[in-house]
Amino acid sequence: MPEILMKGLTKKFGGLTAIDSLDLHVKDGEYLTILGPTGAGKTTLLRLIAGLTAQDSGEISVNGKPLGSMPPEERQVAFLSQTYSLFPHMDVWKNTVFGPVARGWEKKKVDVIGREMLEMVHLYERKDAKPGELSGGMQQRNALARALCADAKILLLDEPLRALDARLRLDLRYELRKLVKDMGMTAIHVTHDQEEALTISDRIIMLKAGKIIQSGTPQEMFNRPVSPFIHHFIGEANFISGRMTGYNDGHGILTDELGTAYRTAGSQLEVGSKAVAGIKTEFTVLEKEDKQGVNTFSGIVERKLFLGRFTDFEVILKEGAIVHARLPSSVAHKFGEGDAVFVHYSPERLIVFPEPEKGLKSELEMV
Amino acid sequence: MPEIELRNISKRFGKVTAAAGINLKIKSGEYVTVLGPSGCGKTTLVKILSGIWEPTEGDCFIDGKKVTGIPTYERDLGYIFQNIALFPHMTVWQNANYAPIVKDWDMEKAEKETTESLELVRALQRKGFKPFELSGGEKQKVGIARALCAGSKLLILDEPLSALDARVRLDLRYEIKRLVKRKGLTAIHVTHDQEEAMSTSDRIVLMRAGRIVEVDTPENLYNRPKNLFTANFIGEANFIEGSVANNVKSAGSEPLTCLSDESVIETRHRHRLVIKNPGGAFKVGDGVVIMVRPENLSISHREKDFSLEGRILDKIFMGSYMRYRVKLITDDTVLVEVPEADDKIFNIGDKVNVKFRPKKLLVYPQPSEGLKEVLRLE
Repeated sequence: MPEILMKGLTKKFGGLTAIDSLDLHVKDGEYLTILGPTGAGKTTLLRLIAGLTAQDSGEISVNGKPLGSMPPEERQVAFLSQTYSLFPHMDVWKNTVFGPVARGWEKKKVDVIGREMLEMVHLYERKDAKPGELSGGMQQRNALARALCADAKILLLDEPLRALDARLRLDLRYELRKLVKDMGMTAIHVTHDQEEALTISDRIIMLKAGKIIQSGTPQEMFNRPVSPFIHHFIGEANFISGRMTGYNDGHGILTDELGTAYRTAGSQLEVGSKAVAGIKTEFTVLEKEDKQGVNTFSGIVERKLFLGRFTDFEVILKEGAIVHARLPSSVAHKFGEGDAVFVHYSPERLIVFPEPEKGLKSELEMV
Repeated sequence: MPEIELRNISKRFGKVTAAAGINLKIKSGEYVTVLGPSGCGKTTLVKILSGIWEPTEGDCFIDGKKVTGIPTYERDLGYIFQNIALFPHMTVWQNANYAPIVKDWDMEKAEKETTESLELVRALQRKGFKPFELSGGEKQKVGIARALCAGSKLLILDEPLSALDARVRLDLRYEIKRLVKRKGLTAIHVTHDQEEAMSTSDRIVLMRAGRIVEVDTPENLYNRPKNLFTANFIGEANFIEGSVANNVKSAGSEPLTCLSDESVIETRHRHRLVIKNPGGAFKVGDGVVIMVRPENLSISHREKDFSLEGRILDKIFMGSYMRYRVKLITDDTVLVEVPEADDKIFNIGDKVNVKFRPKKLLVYPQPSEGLKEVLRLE
């Protein structure tokens, strides 16, 4: 039942800083997800915890005990990467109990743990199959069973679902979380899929350029992002650039270059300072008539895309700005391509940030 | 603007049948996605259409002309696959301009075509870059531009986005659809991602185990799937097994031959659900499966009509909505999704009533091979 503490962790590759004096406390039994764009340092962080790479400075401790340069096999850590690397000539059973057998455990104990793990991943009845005879999802579960057989208490998962069919992923992420919780493990799961992160995690940390830029529950990350980048990465957001021109009733007022005033959520920014405001596409409302008055703008539906539960709209406003709205499909039939519509932003949902140093466009870039 | 027809196509590799008796017509200018789980035969199908493989049986027609036996390079099609290999020593412009040069078009036409294609994928400003200076998404876009430059009107996209990050994938799928429509191409796109299929296609061909399961528009496949596998593959769904009890109006006085306006399905442990959906001919006593999407269920602490009792096992924050996993008194576990900003109303362990609105339930005959087998994803 481990808790993991990282302090001042730094790892450089040549001139590139992959992990930049990072502090992180992972609680015992927590399911933590590391989210971030390609190259953020996500995999490097897992490799440092596993001992597959040595840090340049800083310390990792498990249950208060510094790991120092302890080799991977002594860290009680299971590492599952996106390519499962099962032994192709061995059957499911032999792959699963490889670790215990190599460690010379007695046969009875090996049989018990092997069976237990395979039953947990619903694969016991396929124990005689070779990896080549299994589907991708089954291979993934076989690799998971093998990792779990190592009797580790910390599970490190590097995009464990990436190689699987999209639909299968939806089922397996639920099973994965349940398994980790049932076994009382501490899990750190790396992904670049924000929906996966929302559904599977107790807590999400957002990594960018080797630094944690926000850490919080899925709700906190979604509803109270600390930067435009996170606002746009977890969910998707529409942005407006301008200056704060006043406050009223706890709402802010942001005025853009064209002089249009927007009522925003409250903020600490000084009047006169440059700012950007963003609203999630899920909270961007489309209406047939201008019912609200405030924060309502007319436009034309340029594109409508059915996604199943949701339908995405692209609306071009009169002044030329492009706005995206994600509506439940149950109400999407009211609006068609080419229709005149009103776009409404609820002030509470329009979150204000200081203008990013390098500009909004560069802030939102994914790579 | 080519029209495609696959007539009775089968492909066998030794004992393995990768495609069996495939019949499919694709209209000129249509964007069709071939969707299905790994190993369902979707890639086999487009490899046969493009002439990379020959079918064991059957024929392909492009614009009414039989192309069986004709090599790929004479079929006039563009083929884009998962990891497009750009020429590493050439710039973006030289890569895109490759086909026009090889085909020895005149300079003006080659220049115009290349400019237009790079503009369409929004990569013209990167024309002096080498591939290693581009991100994964940009490389894929240049690869698409290169395929477009060859001037073919038929575009085959074989998992074009699978190697990219989730977010880049979202942006690019809109771009691809936009440019296919802008250029008036016929496109056949292979993917395992149901959301990608729905967002890009005019029609989806859903495959499983070498056969076509269903062909329809994204809306119809999601809202009115004709079979249970489709219902489960195209989006998450709840399934409840039961049997036809009687007709509400006739109150059981005489046997029914068909589900008329309103009927009652008896679930496990003798609970009852009312359905309002004429869904084919069922007799009283017939085994059926009810399908309902998570967003079409709702939960309440109070007792309501058309509801079943249950207990919340799990709740998950999904951004603009909450998702609850509820164990019903019928022993079925269902997913319920409600647009709810306030996540404090319902908690794990709460006893709730799950409302099944009669109009939102679809009914299917109990499959002879069993429900689990029909829904199996792998």
